[in-house]
Amino acid sequence: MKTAMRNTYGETLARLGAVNKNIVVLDADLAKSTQTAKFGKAFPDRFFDMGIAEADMICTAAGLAASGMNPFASTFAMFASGRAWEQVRNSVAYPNLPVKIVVTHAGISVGEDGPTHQACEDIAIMRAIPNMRVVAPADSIETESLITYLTDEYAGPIYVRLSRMNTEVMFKPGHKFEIGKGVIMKEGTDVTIISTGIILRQAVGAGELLKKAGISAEVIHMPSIKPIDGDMIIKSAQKTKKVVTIEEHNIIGGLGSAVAELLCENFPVKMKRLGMMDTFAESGTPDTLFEKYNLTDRALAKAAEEILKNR
Amino acid sequence: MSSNWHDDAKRVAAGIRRRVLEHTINNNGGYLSQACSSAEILAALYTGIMNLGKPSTPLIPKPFPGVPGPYNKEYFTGGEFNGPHTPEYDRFILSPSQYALVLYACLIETGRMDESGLKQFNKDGSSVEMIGAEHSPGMEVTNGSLGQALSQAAGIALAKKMKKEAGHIWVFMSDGELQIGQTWEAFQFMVYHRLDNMTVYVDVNGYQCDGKMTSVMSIEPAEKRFESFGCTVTRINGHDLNAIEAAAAAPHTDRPLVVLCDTNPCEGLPLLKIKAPKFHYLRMKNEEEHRLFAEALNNMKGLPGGTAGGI
Repeated sequence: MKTAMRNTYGETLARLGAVNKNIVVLDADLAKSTQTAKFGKAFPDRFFDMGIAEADMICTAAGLAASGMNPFASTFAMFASGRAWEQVRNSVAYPNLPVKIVVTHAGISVGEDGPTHQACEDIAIMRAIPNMRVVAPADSIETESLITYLTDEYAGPIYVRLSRMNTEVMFKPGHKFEIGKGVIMKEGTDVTIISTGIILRQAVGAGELLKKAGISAEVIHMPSIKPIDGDMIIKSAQKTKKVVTIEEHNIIGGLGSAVAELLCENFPVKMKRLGMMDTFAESGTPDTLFEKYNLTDRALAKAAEEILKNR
Repeated sequence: MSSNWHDDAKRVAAGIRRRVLEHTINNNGGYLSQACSSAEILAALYTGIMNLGKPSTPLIPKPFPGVPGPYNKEYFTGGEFNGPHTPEYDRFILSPSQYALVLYACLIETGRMDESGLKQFNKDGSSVEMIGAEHSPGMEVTNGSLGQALSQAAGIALAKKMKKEAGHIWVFMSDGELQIGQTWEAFQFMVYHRLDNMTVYVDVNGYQCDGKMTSVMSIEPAEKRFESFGCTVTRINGHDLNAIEAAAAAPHTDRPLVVLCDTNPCEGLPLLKIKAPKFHYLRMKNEEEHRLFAEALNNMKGLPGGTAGGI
């Protein structure tokens, strides 16, 4: 079954808004795309469409947070992380204000919208900011759990990376998102595969392909890129001695870099990072682009086999 | 308002100039023209216009509490110098924290900060920073990066409206900030959402870091720009206490009020003209300049409000 995590985001906000009266939602003229319009329809007095004014949106959210409100600010990944980076850094992250920046349309899977909308640098530049947390859930079920956590428990700045496309549901109902925790999807002993966000489908698929080839892959989903689940990754690396990462992001600065930083200092192993190989992409359907830029289960399985050969 | 208020404001304004000049001489550097241009505006806001609570005794600034973050439980803002945050009291937001020294002098003159506080200025480990931030006396949002504090103030004003709190939000801005795109995003929002609980005083001293604004990037006709954005705007002589007071009382139902204060960066210190057009940050070039400014300081101490004997 396929669902869109951004629909879940909007629906969850609208549901939680009835209970948590401090939730205020801001958007920058993309409320129908990010699905915050669902909250806006339910609570028009607590919804503010700021227009195409991302810098102002982020700082206004900071002012609301400083006044005890629980603001969510949404737009596309490109504009929250890119256009408003300095506002996020100075007005939200520095004073450690609980502004929840929930972005949609991240990565190349925004597809036909083309290169100006394909944010593949956002994980890197957001995780480089102190106090910021960066997370990328894999499906609707995890998104719902995450948004509930952000509303009820977490009181700091965070960047939540959601996707545009409808994606397979990867988790059973009841699955819980935990900050700083990964999820072992499949245990294995030969090679560790780590993915984040919606690329989990490819990671799980690669695990199955490798199994058919007689290779035991451990598949880890890492929704919490910062803070990352260091214990889980180090333990897995100690077991398999080989790690392949895959992400819908430039290989510079994203999940692969975070894993490499961690392992280099703690338990260096052979690694291969898959992602956008320091290139921009172009307009196209998500599946065409995943194929072209080697973000498929087959490409991942191949990379795992190669790293096993070169031991 | 009683005439006592104006007498008090005159004394405070003279004290601001004197303290900032003395500090600039002792440190061979300071934001002196900003004191000359804004002394009456800040003095009037603090002595007669804003409804702020007051600390029971002049506060001694606490040392820098360490950078804000989830594990720093000691962190504070400088808001306590402006009195308690209660629904009925006003709030003051200084946007250009390059005016920090001027604000510190004002806080001393109005009995909010102990005069020993200025001795901590720009010292390692002090919260009395040269370009203050939200932990510095009199400040409570991240204001060092120009153009961001207004949006945050709008968020605070919006929260006050949502909570049906009476207090007004007073913002002090510099004219250079009118060059910033985000400033106009913020005014667009303030007007659209009818934030008539906001008044913005702009110190139009006509100078910026790179020189005279008309030779860098003109912001004129400023009042027409504000009018066309839908603000209630008034333009006054920013050294005239009667005009500053009258402007604050201008009716502005459903609209934010903007007070453009035309000021002279050398007001009260004609000697400063010798540095034209380099007013942004004053350094004494040589012994002779040093002697001239010291002489001017001595003359100031003989004037009303000049508290002979110094700091």
